[in-house]
Amino acid sequence: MPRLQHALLLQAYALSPLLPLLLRVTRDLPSALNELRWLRSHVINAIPKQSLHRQHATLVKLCRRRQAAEPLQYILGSQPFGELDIRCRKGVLIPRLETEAYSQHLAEQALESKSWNGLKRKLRVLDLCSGSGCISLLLLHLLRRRMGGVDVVGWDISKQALALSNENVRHSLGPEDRGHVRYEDRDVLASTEKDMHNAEAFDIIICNPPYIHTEDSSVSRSVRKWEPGLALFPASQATGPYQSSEALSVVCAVEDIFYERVLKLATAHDVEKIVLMEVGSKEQAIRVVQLAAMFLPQATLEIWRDAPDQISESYEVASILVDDQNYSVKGSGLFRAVVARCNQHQNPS
Amino acid sequence: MFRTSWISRRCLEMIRKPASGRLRRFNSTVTQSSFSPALLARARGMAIEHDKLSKETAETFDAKTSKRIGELKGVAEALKEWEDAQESMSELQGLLKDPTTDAELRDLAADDLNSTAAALDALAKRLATSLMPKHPFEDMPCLIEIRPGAGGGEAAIFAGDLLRMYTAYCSRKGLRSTLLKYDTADGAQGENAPLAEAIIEVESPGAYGELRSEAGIHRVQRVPVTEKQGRTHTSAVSVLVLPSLPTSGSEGLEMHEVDLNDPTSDYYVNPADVRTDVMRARGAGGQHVNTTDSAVRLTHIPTNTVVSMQDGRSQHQNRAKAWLLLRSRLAQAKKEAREEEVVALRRNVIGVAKMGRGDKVRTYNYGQQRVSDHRSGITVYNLDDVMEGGAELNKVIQSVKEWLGEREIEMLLTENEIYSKKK
Ligand SMILES: C[S@@+](CC[C@H](N)C(=O)[O-])C[C@H]1O[C@@H](n2cnc3c(N)ncnc32)[C@H](O)[C@@H]1O
Repeated sequence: MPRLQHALLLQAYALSPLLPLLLRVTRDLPSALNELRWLRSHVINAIPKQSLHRQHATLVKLCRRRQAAEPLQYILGSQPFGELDIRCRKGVLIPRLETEAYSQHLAEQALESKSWNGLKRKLRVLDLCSGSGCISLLLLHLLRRRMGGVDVVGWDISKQALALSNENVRHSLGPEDRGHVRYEDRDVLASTEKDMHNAEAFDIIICNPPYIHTEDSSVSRSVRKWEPGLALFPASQATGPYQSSEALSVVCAVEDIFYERVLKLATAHDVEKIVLMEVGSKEQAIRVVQLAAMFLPQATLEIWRDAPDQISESYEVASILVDDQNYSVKGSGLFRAVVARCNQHQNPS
Repeated sequence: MFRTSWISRRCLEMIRKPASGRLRRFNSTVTQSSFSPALLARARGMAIEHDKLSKETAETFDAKTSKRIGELKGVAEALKEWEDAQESMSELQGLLKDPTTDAELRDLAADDLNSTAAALDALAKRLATSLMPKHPFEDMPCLIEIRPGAGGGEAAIFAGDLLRMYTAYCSRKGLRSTLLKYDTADGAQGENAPLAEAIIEVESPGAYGELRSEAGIHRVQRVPVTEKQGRTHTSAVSVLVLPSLPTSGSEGLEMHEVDLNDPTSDYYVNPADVRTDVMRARGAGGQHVNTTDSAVRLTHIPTNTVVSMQDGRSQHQNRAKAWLLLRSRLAQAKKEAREEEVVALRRNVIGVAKMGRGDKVRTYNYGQQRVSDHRSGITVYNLDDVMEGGAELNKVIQSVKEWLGEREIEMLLTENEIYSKKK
């Protein structure tokens, strides 16, 4: 990491002696200023009736923690996600802005979908690798007003994640919605025949799996040091109960092991289905498109960028050719999700 | 209509001959009381509508209709009284004109004519007031934007003083206000940090009507804390007051009947015209980084209006606030553009300058502990109470509102004159 400019540090120091501490993590002054403001109001709100002196001491302590690259969300204990406030805690991945953007966009599409609009029954959502529960809770929050309502199930293997997501049900949802979500201790990689059968009934399968290669150098210091490896790096599980099939190893990299499982869960269906999988790079997006084309040959596939609802920049392509097939690429930013739509009358492959 | 004024002028000539002090006074009143045909036509049209609707509602009740009737009622009544007075005027004038009228009756009629003329004057004013169109945004909540202008650091400090002044004033008047945006010049924190831009949202309905007269340049004259030689500096802060659209579902929405999706509404912004930019994570994004940057920037492409919001941790909220701000700014611009034409006409005729964001409206002089408003001409000597948003500030604001009301009636009358001259 390049060293911070001396002048910038001095400028920051002149504004507040605490800013240089934050600047080491945020790398730019406006973000450091924002973080200082949030930390300050957190100290004032979270621990009221403290003397000014004590408040300042607490603030200094929090800035020190931040200087050590601890995520602000762990220090403050939360992250806004759409209209929701999601609790965050060490041991569970922090919800990301990109995840928020596609979850929101997916909910909008679900509300506009012609075939789902007339549907009188509940829409069923499966959130694989649910973590803090941010995705499933936001979808529930956005879809609960639709005519038939919505039911959400989340799977994760981390005890800490499951505990936190259950806590978030109480924290971020109104009492009337809490009965419509359930988190289960399930291993996505070891899904059984029964799981497959259960998955059939879901209208939306969404998954933000661990997808980073262990050696990837673009992982920030804060993420690597503070966030759980189980949520980020799939490699540790590649030798577990899951063995990649030979055919797949042709297209798959080791960090892709979850996608095949997710797609398998989506193959059996007798309802219209949307499958959305978050990806970490353009290369990964292309591999996942290849995989999806194998598992769901009838499905319509597309790629969503970071901001799927935004107008593309002139230099951003609107479609991409993979194995002689053209797939549309929506929105603006980096390739962030692969979306598959399966129509109703389609035989399980 | 035209005949009425013509007749009265004829009568005037006739009675002018026996020149008496009383009659001369009368002469001046009559000229004021005679209405421009356009204004009168408008009043008559409204009265007719009032009668028609009143008959209709007798059969079917409709909330919208009865609201309209309420709006028209004042005009209809004022017009009726004015017309009655006008009629007795012509009768009296008829008497005076008639050569067979005996001298005693003539004296009596002249006397009556005088008092009727005085009453007519008051009635004409009342009619004009009732015709005064209510400001279209009068009932709305508002945004107050405060920005330091010329004068450097001192202006920024005074901007902070004004922010506190308005916040205190709102809470004194029972108006709900929240700080929507607070940017300090150099990011410093705390009570006395110099301000770069602050936006207060005053959510109570009617806040725009209450505070719109505060828009303009506020000037401060004092010795800045940073000034070592004790010299008095003059700095300026600009205050912008925008009508603000209540968020959907809130109480105000039905009241203003403004529909975000109605293209004819000032608040309609075509989403296709707005470009959204969010701060993107450097590098790979996604799981690779846990950024906290939630800034949102909106650009209205046709007008190149840019608003950005980064104060909150929630991108969702920053976006909602940015939209609120963009809508308000564009609505204000639309309204100003519409007024521009009329304003130009007015300026030509009576030289009334537009009171807008560019005009110096008030001076706060610390040395003399006084606050003077350059529009109403009021000066108060309890500066501290003004800065605390107290009763003295209320006095100043009310005086400006009155002044503004008078100007608007004046303009309405002039507008009609221009209109009838052009015809
Ligand atoms: C990238 S995080 C996503 C969390 C959350 N959905 C979000 O978007 O913020 C991946 C999650 O997958 C969970 N996980 C890892 N391996 C798993 C497995 N084999 N089966 C189920 N969940 C797993 C981790 O505990 C972690 O919570």
